[in-house]
Amino acid sequence: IISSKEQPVIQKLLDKKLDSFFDYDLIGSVEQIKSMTSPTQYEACFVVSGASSVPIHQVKPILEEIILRSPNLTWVHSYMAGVDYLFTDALIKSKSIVLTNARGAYDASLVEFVLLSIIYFAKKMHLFQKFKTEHKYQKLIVNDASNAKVGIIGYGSIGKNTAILLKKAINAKIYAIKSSPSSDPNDKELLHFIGQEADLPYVLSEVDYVVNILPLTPKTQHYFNMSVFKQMKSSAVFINIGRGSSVVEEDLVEALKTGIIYGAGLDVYDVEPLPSGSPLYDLDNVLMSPHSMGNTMLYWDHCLESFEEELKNFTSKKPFKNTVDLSKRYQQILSLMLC
Amino acid sequence: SDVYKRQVSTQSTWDFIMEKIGSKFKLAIMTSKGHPMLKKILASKLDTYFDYDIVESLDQVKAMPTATEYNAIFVLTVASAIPFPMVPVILQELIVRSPKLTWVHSMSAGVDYMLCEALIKSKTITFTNARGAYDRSLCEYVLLSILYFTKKMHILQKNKAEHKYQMLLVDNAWDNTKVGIIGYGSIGRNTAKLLKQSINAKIYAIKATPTTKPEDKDLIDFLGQEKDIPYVLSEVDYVINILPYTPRTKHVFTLSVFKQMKPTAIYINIGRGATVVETDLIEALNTKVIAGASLDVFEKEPLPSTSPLFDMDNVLISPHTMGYTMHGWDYCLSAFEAELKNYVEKTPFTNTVNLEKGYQSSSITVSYTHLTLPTSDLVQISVVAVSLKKK
Repeated sequence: IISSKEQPVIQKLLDKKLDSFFDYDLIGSVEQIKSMTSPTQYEACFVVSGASSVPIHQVKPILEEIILRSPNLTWVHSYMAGVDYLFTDALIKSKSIVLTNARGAYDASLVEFVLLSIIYFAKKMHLFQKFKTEHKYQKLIVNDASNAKVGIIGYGSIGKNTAILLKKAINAKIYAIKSSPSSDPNDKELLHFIGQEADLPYVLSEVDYVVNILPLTPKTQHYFNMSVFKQMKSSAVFINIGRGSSVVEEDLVEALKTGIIYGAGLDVYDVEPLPSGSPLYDLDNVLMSPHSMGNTMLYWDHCLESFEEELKNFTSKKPFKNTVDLSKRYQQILSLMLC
Repeated sequence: SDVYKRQVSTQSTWDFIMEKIGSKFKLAIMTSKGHPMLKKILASKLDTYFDYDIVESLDQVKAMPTATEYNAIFVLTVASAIPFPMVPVILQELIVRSPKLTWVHSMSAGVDYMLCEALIKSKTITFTNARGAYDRSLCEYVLLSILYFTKKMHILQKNKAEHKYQMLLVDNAWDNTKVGIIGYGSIGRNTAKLLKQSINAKIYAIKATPTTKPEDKDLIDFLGQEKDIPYVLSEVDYVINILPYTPRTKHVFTLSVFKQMKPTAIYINIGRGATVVETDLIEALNTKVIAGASLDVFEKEPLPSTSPLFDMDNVLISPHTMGYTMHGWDYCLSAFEAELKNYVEKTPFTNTVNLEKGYQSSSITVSYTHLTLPTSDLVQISVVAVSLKKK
């Protein structure tokens, strides 16, 4: 298990005595696996790094070492639906490992954070919070969040659920950017505009809120830089619930400091934990969450349920419910790397 | 809200009305020159249908003849230069000088701050307000407050100030939030609607009387009266105070009331500061009787800089502004225009405030048992007037 003891799913797993089905080791670092006798006896690997002491960028190197040292390994399970974070060479090239992931356990709480960020800045709460520290009582005319124009960059499952909530709650006008055209007929009703990458400048120039939900790939790394922020309205707010590394963080700081954008709601950072020296801490127009907006008991319950389901399949030698086609993903990664 | 369905009248409608009534009526607008709403009224050319004077001060009223020609008064004092304590004083003087007066319209929803003896005792004046005009913005502030505390942002913002990065567990708001609405009227109804749509909240409503509108059936999960307040307070995660300020609701939120709430619960006030004993609220927060508060109104406004509320991490402070957005002025204009139409066409007003029977004629929330203001309030007003004169 790639995780640490305090991780909520691990706690639940032990409470439910699921460890009666298996012997396990908690692997937290590359050093730890390297110090073990090789080859190992591991038959399966459960990756549940979120909200653990294992940083997301460490998962690939740890998994690589585990796979190289574990000839009996036939199953890897990802705690979340996204799997890009664990695509290590050994996994992609393996002929004997099946990869499963969590079925549609979408981050309801994460989507609520987007709504919170929107209303927070619409009501100028960041200014009132600053006044509060100065014991200042000063009236300002605030804005309605209703009918806000919201851009969703990276329109997948979370993006769709974000659009649904924002439409319901504040009748938001949604401008979605998707890597490939939408095949869902409901999108026409739900979305005001849907486009691809070429349409990004248009969307950025139109919307009041930009929500980043891009997955981390070689192409999306450091995608949001100063030139992108400059395409946004100066009254617009940037909300990041995707990956911190999709943003050039010093450009974001500069854009916030100099009024190129109005504010930011952040759940993720380039380096996590965010170092205490980061200028982001001192910016009044930043709503800051330490990657906790998806950290709810409900979410972890879903993650455990998914793992449990596949565990039952594994131990009874039945077909898995949610496999990820590694060969297809290999092709995708290859084509992305060639871009 | 009905306000959303109001449309700006077309030119032909107004021409038809003007033909019917023949001449313009005389309107006194209590406000300051340059008030944003005044600009909107003039931009909409509504002044084509009335002759108006801007009434800015008590001196101005006192210099008027003993019998003015005013048929109506529009009170547009919020966000004007007229201080709150002077509003009922000026209104009183204006009403007693205006024998032809039949209509007073308030640009705000709450009217407690403008009540004067002449208005309360009058048998000939109809009093209307902008009920519903500010609901949308206020509802959004309630939703913001709920999400803020559900996501533990008060803790995270404190950590941010200390440059501390520490993951913590937060809650889902959807289908996981119980809300008590104390004083369920137009704002309460719209709040319930928004909270149901956005987070599927469970709504516990407290109303003075059990009468409801048909749409409340799908909005209210528990409907109670004053006697049910302890039950509601013991159940809910968020308590929303939307009580109007009347003699009966003054200082109803005391420490013993806060103690009936869950220690994990949050208190939200978008009603009136005077319905709370503010020192008790501060003590409840200090001694962790409740977990936090989100306040748009205070006993004394502006909130003095010495207030301990400014130093509390688990308190959101808004300077009585959450009802006022750019759209709020549009709805306010629509409300005024709708009643203007009713006035000139002699059709029934939409939102009358009936001071004899209760606070709102269309949905009675609190009943007056007396027609006069409590003596102490009158004394307060007189003292203010005297001290201003001396200056």
